[in-house]
Amino acid sequence: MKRLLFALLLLATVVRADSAGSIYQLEAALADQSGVLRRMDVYRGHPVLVTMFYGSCPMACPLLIDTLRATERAAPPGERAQLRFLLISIDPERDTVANLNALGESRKLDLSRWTLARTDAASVRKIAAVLGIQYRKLPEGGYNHSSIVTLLDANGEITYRSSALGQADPELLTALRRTTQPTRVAR
Amino acid sequence: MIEFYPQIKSVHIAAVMLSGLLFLIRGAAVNAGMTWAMAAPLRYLSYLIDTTLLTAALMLATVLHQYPFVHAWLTVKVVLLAIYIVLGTFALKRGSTRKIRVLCWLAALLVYGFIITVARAHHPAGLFAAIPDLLRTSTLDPGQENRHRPVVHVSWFAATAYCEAQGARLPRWHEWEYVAAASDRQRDARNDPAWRQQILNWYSRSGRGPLPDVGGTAANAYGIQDLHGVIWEWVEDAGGMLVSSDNREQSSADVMRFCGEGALTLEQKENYATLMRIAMLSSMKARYTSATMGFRCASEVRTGS
Repeated sequence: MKRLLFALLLLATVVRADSAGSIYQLEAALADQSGVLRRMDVYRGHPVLVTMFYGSCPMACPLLIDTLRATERAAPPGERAQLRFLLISIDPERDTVANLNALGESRKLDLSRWTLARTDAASVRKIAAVLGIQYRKLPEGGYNHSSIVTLLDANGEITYRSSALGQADPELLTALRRTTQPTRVAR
Repeated sequence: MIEFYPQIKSVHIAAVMLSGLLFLIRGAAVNAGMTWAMAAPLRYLSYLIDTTLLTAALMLATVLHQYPFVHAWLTVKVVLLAIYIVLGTFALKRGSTRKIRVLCWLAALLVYGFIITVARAHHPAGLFAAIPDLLRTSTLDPGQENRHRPVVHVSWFAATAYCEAQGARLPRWHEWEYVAAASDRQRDARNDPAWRQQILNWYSRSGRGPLPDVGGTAANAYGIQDLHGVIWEWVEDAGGMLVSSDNREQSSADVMRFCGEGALTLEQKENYATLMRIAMLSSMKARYTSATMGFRCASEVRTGS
């Protein structure tokens, strides 16, 4: 019986619950650029910049990656080391694992800290809804979508949304500083 | 792991049955004064069953994303399990008199039974969960007066989840509009001024007061009812209404905000009702709810065998 009580105690401590506002509650199955199946919480425990894009995008999406990079460079080293990047495709038909991998290589992304992911169409809509990203498929195959970068804290709570493109958003950096400070304690 | 959910659940339930049965037998035997009930092999069998039971429970919690101390019914299960264990130890060995042991044994069996009803109902009140329904105090109960009215106050997430649970989905915006363009006689009545006016008359009515009943309007040429004149409805791609909140110039798409060409352009400006629906949908975020916004589900038509 003592063992049973011990197992019970284990049950209470091992299980980990998402806080009420965490987007990690979303049950979407992602595939990363290596084809590994992931959940939304690829980078749980880290501050994450998450955004949505499509690989064949000519204009704003390359700029989106540049913006993330600029943010990465502008962050102080301690925060930069913690920061992770999650880019989810809104175009699962064309953004195959191979294409995501090729994109990661051509943009020379450090794939230990950057994840390019695809998911099913229904999950795309839910993730976009959660992140407040609007998108619409165009007849010729491209997409209209709003370019919003969302900062998540270690538990997946939305901390800040930025729609600034082209350079590091100073307010996003401020939010990142606020996020990284308490996470060391919380984790 | 989700693909093994039914198997894990079967293991869990089987372990629950075995554990309960073993306790029932051992309790009865102990109280009848038989010493074999506390013999080492039986004790180890009990540990084995209970470990299997808890391992399966942990796996189920992970698969379902439902956790004790987050989801009330699981919290209740864990707390009751602790009570059951304590009562169990008193029933089998700790109880100082036979009377205490028998009482603890019976109480433990009652708790055991109640835990099962909690598990089956996924509700902290277990078999008593139906009582609020009988008294009609549940917030999910629409009440007699709303029984035939459309369900409103649902977010896009809730509407999507409901349709998914039915094996369906929300209709897409163009599908909804395509079907909604039909009058009772014509499939495309958009050029019928009388039909357009009829719809605008509804939009000009105040949204206050009770909603009409579902099924109260005439079916259109496709046999679909209530597209107009009852409520606003969610669509699957409600997040795709790329109408800028302050874009008075139709053509100047903000290329920096929107990756791609530009926002929706409207070709049939005389179809004011469509514009109103776009305005309504684009003003709603997925988590918003409204007293006049509901939904319907759609699914692909399976043709042939």
